[in-house]
Amino acid sequence: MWWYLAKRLLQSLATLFVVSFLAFFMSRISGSPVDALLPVDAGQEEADILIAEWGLDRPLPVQYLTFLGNALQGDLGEALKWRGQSALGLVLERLPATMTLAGAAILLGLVIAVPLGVISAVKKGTWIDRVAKVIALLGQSLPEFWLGIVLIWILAVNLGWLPTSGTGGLSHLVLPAITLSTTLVAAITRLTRSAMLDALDSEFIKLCRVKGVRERRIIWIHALRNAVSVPLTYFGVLAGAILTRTVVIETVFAWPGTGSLVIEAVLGRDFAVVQAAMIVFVLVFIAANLLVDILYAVVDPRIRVE
Amino acid sequence: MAAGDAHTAQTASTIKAPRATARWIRTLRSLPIVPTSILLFVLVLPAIAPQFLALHDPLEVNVPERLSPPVLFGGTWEYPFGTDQLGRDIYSRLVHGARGSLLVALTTIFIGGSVGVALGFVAGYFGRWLDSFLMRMVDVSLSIPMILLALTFAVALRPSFGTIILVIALSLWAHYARLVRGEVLGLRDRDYVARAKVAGASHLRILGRHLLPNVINTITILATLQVGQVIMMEAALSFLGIGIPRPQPAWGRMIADGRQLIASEWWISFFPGMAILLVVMSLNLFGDWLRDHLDPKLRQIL
Repeated sequence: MWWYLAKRLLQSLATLFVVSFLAFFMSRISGSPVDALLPVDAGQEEADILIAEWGLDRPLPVQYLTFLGNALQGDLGEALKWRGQSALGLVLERLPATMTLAGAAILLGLVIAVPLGVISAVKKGTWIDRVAKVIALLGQSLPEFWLGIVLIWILAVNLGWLPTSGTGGLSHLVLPAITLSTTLVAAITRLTRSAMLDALDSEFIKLCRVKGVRERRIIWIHALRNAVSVPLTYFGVLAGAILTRTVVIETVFAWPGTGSLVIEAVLGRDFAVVQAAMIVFVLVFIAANLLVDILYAVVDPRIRVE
Repeated sequence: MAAGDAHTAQTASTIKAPRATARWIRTLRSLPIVPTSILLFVLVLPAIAPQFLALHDPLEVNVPERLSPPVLFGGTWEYPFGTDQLGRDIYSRLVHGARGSLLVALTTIFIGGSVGVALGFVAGYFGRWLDSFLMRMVDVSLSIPMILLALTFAVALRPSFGTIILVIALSLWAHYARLVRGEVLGLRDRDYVARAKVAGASHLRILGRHLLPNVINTITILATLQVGQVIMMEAALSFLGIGIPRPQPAWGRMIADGRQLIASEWWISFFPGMAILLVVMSLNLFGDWLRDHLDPKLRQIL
């Protein structure tokens, strides 16, 4: 198992390396940083001083290594739009809001989708199975930014039940979390259903029945424990998808997380902040995947033995 | 006796003739009617010939008619789905927006698919270090969130058709590569491949003649299922303002345009969102149908 985790960790490092490479070269394509830093009326001399100071006259590989070295020390450059603040600091400052939103959506998604998937597998072919199918299809097909706007329109503006946007109490979290969880609900329902169908069909369940274990216990303990590893493997991928979607959802609900920060940075053409956000998001994604790997080993003993 | 022969001959022909046609007719009949027609009327026809379906120029600004409501909510048939802040016809903009969506989806899937399939073949067929290297690249690619990549590109380069196609294709290829590699791994050691090798077939011939036909169904299904996803991606990018550039009408952009007015002029955002929902849902249903039809065993994988 440790070997398995070490292998995954090594893969993650490779991913980070490629991302840093990408981030650096994209920043160079976007044009010389000198233009962005200097006032419009600055002369060539001032530009030369700045170039020497920032090391922009050195060859690109050297510049990249400098960038990598700084990045490893947690220095991802200074924000352009928010003068005097470090790009990484800005991103990290907004990260908790994003994590709260993502966490709430994941929790909501699991609470709805796992029981729904289990019930629709147990009651296969009944109306509840059909309802689950429709929910899964809708969750896959709804553009979430539009769903967010429609929910604001109906629940916040017309009925006045919930605030339209911004932050505050728990009530501000409800709409964005629901919106963000739709895709997750769709995916987890489908995965749980098919995994449960497989599990319920297996030999050990028959043995449980022969032994006279109560049906409820068979479904929710014996079968579910075996079925849950399937949605879990996809959870790493889904975590990445959720993280990405926060960018859109935060924009819709004016939620002050990293996602809306990135959009502000894009509009202000602040490359350092976008770069920092990209690296932080990939780090979070990698961490989520490692967590899934560990959880997976906990749930499925076969991995531990191997 | 002769009458009997004629009779059997006749029944034989009556049985045979329908059988020959029945197959494709049955396929056609099993086509899901509603999703197929939605796709045809909301996506494909508008994308092919928007000028015949639109009532107005999608870019035509008509300030006196601005914010006019849809036809059943006090509007006129002149603007069936109402108009936006600039008095542009929502319906005509929807019709013209279909082309951008479809074009982006088809191009990115073609580019990303071809690259992914080629690399998947190379990885699965030649194996060894090439395989491990390419699969690492697949892992890396799958762990870079598409929207962040798009945002990085949007700051670095000007938003254009080329940029979104590049970004989306970059996030698609890995899915094909992984799928094809897996399939090829399962096929590579089959007897018929070994025999083709003995017969002196080149690698290219084995890949093209013996492996590709076995994988093509899987690729087709994945590509079909991805059209909806790509349309959604493009809409999200356009919504964020980094997708299809202005003034070209795009469904995602139209939703963003009406966002601030949702409380009073809901139709500006509502109809483009419905268009996306209908099209993506139909594509999902159509993809499911195609999967069940071409290869039911894929149910578990895709």
